[in-house]
Amino acid sequence: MKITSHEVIRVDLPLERPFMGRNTFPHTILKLRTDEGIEGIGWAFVAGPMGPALAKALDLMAESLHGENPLMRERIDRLVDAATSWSGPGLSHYLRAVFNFAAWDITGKAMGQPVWQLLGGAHAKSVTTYASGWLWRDYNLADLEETAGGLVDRGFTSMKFRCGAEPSLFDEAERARVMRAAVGDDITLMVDINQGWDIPRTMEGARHFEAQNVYWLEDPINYLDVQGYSQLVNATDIAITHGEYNYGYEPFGPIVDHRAADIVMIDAHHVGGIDAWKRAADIAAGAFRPVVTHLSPEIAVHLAAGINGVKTVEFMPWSFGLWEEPMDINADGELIVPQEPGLGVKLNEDVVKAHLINE
Amino acid sequence: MKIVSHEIVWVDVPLPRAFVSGTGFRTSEMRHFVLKLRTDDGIEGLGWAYAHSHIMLPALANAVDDVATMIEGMDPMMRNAIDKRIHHATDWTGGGMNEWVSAVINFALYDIAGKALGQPVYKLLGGVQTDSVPTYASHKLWRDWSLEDLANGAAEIKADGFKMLKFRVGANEAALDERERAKVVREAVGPDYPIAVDINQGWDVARTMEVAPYLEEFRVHWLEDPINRHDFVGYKHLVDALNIAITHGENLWDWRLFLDVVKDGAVDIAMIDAHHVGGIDGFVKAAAVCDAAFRPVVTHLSPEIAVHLGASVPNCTLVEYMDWSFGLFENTSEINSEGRMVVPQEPGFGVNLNQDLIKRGIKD
Repeated sequence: MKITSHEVIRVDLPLERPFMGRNTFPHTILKLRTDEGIEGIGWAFVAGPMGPALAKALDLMAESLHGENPLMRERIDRLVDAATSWSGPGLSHYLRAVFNFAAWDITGKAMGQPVWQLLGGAHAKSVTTYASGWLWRDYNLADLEETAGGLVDRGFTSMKFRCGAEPSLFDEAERARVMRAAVGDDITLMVDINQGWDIPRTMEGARHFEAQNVYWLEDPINYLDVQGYSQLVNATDIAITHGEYNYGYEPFGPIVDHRAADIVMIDAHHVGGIDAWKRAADIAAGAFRPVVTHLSPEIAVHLAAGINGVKTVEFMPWSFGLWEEPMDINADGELIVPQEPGLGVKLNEDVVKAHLINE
Repeated sequence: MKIVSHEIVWVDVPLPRAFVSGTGFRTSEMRHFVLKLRTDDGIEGLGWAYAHSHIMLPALANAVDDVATMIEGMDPMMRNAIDKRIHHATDWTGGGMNEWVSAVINFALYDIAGKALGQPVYKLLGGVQTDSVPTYASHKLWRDWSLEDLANGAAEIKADGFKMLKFRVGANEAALDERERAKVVREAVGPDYPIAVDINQGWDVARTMEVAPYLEEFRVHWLEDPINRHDFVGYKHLVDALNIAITHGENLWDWRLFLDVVKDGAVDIAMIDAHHVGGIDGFVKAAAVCDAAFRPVVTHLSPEIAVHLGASVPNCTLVEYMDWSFGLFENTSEINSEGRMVVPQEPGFGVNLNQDLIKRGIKD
């Protein structure tokens, strides 16, 4: 099988509710086509000036991969790595990830198997998930309460809210109190700071979250501060969770080596694809640390359904509008595992047409 | 003062001899793009970048173009405010490309600041040397050069007046063939001449331990990038185990990573690439981190920029002489009779674009 052609498009998908000042989210999509008529897709969400940059690099790179066998994922990854090594980590990992996703999609379709099955298969029907696309920093307390209640009604048993924007820790604690009161004692709560705090703030803030039985505290400080994370793991009772900001699987070695995370969060785009995600997860497993996914549930569901030891999948609906059939949870609040070959997603061409970015 | 407009121009800069990169790209030109950032009082500042691979450079130019538009209306002297704004817009894609974007903008801002204040960049940074800085020849002696070419090239460099050189090793299967390259270079330049060797991450720890004694035999001053950039534990081991200065850092794309390297004792000489750490300001921070651990730093590529760092950063001991961008400018990095690089005294970086070459643009 050979890659014979490709297409890169950008789609500016409308959001149900404005998020951090934006009404739409731009997605970059790669379609990789083969001589056997199989088409695989990979995609990424990148806003701002790096979005068009990613599309440009994907297009040029895809051109140079015509003639390559898409089943040779490791070889393709080496070619992309070699062509992008000069630009360091980051955008190069997005490139590697998007090609890796498309190659896995093609592989699954060629073999008539969903990707999670090809990864080994751990859970065939559903996987644990938590609601993550709501309860942002700009929700006021009434909003938090109402939305959290609505998520419980919808069947979620676990959800994440955000803190880190309030000048006063008292106000941060108030958000945690409101959340706990809104959902009751049986729902699992997590909180995400997105690197907004420093160590003293985190040491104090953690106590307020512990008081509301919040399960994990995510990304309180800058991701490069591995020593700081090690200190937080030792000094707090709450599960310190981070890892999404690391590019490539390599940084996960030092993180577990320094005992710098209780739960390791791995982003499939940022590590460079499904194979790299597995490597990072293996590193964590070698140090007896559980792993969780980050964003892109369409990819993450295959990781959690395919590999042992993935604790939960982040249910993030940002890209759901792209597909003919959006993902959903079952009556037990678990994420339904797709059974179609490949990644099991099909672009909704009407949506694509309506929101295509013309550059 | 305000940023009002910008322009990006593409140029293929001819190389004196075809170059084969560590990852196998062969090219007889180095593709560049130049950012011209303009202010309301008529000052134009230059930033530029280049790459062997033509995949990421257009992506970078695209991002620089968008970011330059984004910062229109801002005061070019407010570099830190501008950098914060850029990082806010680009951080999601990680430490590599966004540092590169920041760097190209940062260079243009320094060029503007220098021109606005009538000072060369090195003086804005608090100059430490006025006329010239120590340099070493790095523009020849690649991995694909034969032993004969290597011997002739090394002798030429010495005859041209350079006081130190760097050659490349790491492509041979047999350790003794690698030894032969070190031997040929040492014999070409004589016993007292400092030589350095670069592996470009081609080895692992075991291979490095196998070949390094041969490099020590011929008194190689530093061993650069023997192993993968991520392997700080491996670097610490090499620093402890070898009697040769372990040099790396050019592949670290954030100034803060230098703290991990020096804290772990994983480097003897830190090499910092201004393009990779977000520009002049990132370089100065990385160098200060290394200085706090009493480690010297050396520059990587782009001597037109690095000469200003060598002339101002107190623990910056050497500037790499690399000719990849020379054709781009009317005035190239000049070497004086003592084999040192002459520090430009014109405002800003003191570079003027070669308009003939700019007109030729790129082949496509």
